[in-house]
Amino acid sequence: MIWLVYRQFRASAVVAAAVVVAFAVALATTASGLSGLYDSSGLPSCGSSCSAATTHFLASMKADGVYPVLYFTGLGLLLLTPALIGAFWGAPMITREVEGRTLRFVWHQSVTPTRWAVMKIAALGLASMAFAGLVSLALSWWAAPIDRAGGFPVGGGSQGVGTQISRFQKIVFDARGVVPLGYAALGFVVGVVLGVVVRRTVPAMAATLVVVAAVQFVVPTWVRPHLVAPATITRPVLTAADLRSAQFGNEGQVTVPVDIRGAWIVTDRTVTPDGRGFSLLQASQCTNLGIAQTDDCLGALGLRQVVTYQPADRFWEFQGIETAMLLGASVVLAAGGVVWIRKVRLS
Amino acid sequence: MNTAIQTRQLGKRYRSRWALTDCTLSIPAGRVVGLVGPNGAGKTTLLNLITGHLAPDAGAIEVLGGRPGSGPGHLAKVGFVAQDTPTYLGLSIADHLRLGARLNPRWDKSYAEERIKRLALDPRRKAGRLSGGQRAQLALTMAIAKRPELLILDEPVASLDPLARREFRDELREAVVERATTVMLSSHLVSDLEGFCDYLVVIAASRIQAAGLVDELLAAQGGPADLEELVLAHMSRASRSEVETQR
Repeated sequence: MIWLVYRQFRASAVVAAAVVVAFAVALATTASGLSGLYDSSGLPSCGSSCSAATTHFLASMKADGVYPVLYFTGLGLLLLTPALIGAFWGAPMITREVEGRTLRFVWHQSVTPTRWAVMKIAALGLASMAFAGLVSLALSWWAAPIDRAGGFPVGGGSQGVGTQISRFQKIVFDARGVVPLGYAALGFVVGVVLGVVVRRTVPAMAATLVVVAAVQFVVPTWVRPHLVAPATITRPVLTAADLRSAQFGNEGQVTVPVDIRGAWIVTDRTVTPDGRGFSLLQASQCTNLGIAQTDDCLGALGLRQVVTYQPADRFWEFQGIETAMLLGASVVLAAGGVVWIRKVRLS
Repeated sequence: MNTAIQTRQLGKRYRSRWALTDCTLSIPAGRVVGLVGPNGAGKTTLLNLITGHLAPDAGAIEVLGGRPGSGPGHLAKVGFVAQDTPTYLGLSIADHLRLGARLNPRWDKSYAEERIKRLALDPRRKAGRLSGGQRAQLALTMAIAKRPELLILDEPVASLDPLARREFRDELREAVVERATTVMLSSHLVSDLEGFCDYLVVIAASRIQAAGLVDELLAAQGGPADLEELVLAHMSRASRSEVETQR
C-alpha cells in the first residue's frame, strides 16, 4: 500500500520538493547579506535607544532589490499553500479515483476501503505538513532579523519607518513558526472531505479553494483574538499633540495609532472621560473647523485611549494553541472522511 | 459440495426502484457460473452485491462463508473485474503487476508476467495507452494472478476479439480445473456462455428466473432444446408475468 501511495504521489512530490529546494537556495544565498545589514546597523548593541538603528536597518533592507521580493514571495507561498494543497493533493485523491472508477479495482487488491483511506490520508497529510513546515522553517529563519526589528516596514511615513507588520500581525503570523503545518494539514483534509462529498474533480477543487480561504480569514479574525485574554493599556488624557496623528472613521470614530514593539494590537479605541466610546458625532462643536483647531478642540475634551493587545512574548503561546487546534480539527475531519468513505463505498 | 455463494431474499434498491428483489441463490463451489439476462436486468447489481461494493437493502448474502468485502482476508479470496475494466491510466503494466504483488497475499508473479508476455504487451506501456481489449486483458491477468477462490467477471469478453475470447475461455477453464476456482461471469449474449458454463443463472426484470446446473435445466425443459432457447423461454416468461402484474 505504501508503494502504491508513493507511486501515485511521486510526480507531485517531485514538484513540491523542487519548490522547497529552489526557495531554500534563494533564502540561503541571501541570508548572510541580510543578517550582515542587521549587524552593521548597530541593532544588536543599541540597548534601549534603537529607533535610529532600526530605521537604518529597515531602510537599507527595503532599498535592496532582493530582500523585499523574497520576504513577500515567502509570505505569499505560505498563505497559498493550504488552499493549493487541498485543491491539488486533497480533492483529487478521491475524485480522480471516482472518475477513473479505479476504487473498485484497488479495493479488490486485498485492500479494504478503510486501510486504503487511512494510508492515503496519513501519507499525503504528512507530506503536506512537511512541505509547509520546511518552507516556514526556512522563511522564519531567514526573516528573523526583520522580525526582530519589529517587522517589515509598509507605507513609509514621515518620521522613522512608518507602520511595520510584525510576525504577530494577522497575515504574517500564518507564515511563521509551526502554524503553517496546521493550516496545510487542515487544507489537505478539507480537500479530501470535499472530494468525498462532491466526487467530481473540478468542482471539488473550486470548493476547496473557497472553504480553505474562508478558514484562513475566519480563524485570525474571529477565533485567534479570543484564544488568550488580551492585555490592556489605558493612555491618560490625550492632548492636542497626541491627536495630531489620529485617523477618523466613517462613523466619527477617532483612532490614535499606537506602536507596541512586536505586539498584536487587538483593539484601539478612543473613549470619553467616563469610559464610553467616543465619536465625533458627540462633539459637534469640534467639527467644521480647521485641522489644527479640531485637534485643539478634541484635546480639551479629556479623551483617553484604550488599547487591548497581545504582547510580543505571547507569540509562541499563540502559535502552539492555534497549531494544536488546527491539527485537532484535521484529525477529526480526517476520521470523519475515512468513516464516510467506508460507508458510502464510492465506486 | 461446498457452497460458494448463498443469498436469501436479497434485494437492492436505487431510490424507489428495486434493481434486484427476492434473489435467493445457492451456488456450489468449483463451477463456471453464467449470469445471463437482458441489459438493465440487475446483473451488475447482483455482482456488486457479491463483491461487497454494494450493501444490500433487503435479505442476506454470504460469500465463501463470510460477508462480502468484510476484510483483507476475504477480499484476497475474491477476484473481481468490473464491467469497464478500470485500471490506473497513469501507471505502466509493470507498475500494475508490482502493485498486485505488493497488495495481494497470494499473488502469482510468474503467471502474471508470463501472461503479459504471451499477450505481447510491453510492460513499460502505460495503461492509458492500451486499447480497450488490452486493458481488459490486463485487468483479467491481475484478477487471475491474485489466485482467488471466487472470480467475478462482469461482461468480461465484451471488449475482446473472437480469438482472444476463445483463448480467455481456455485460460479460465484451466484455472477452474487446476485450482477449483469458482468463476461467475455475466453476459447478455448466451453465445458467450454456451459450452463453457456448467451452471446458469437467468435474471430478468430484477428477479431470478432460473438457476441450476445447465444439464438439469435443459432436462427439465424437455426435448432437444439448446441453451439459447432455454434462456429465451425463461426470459419471455418473465416479461409475460411483468405485463400481467402491470395490468
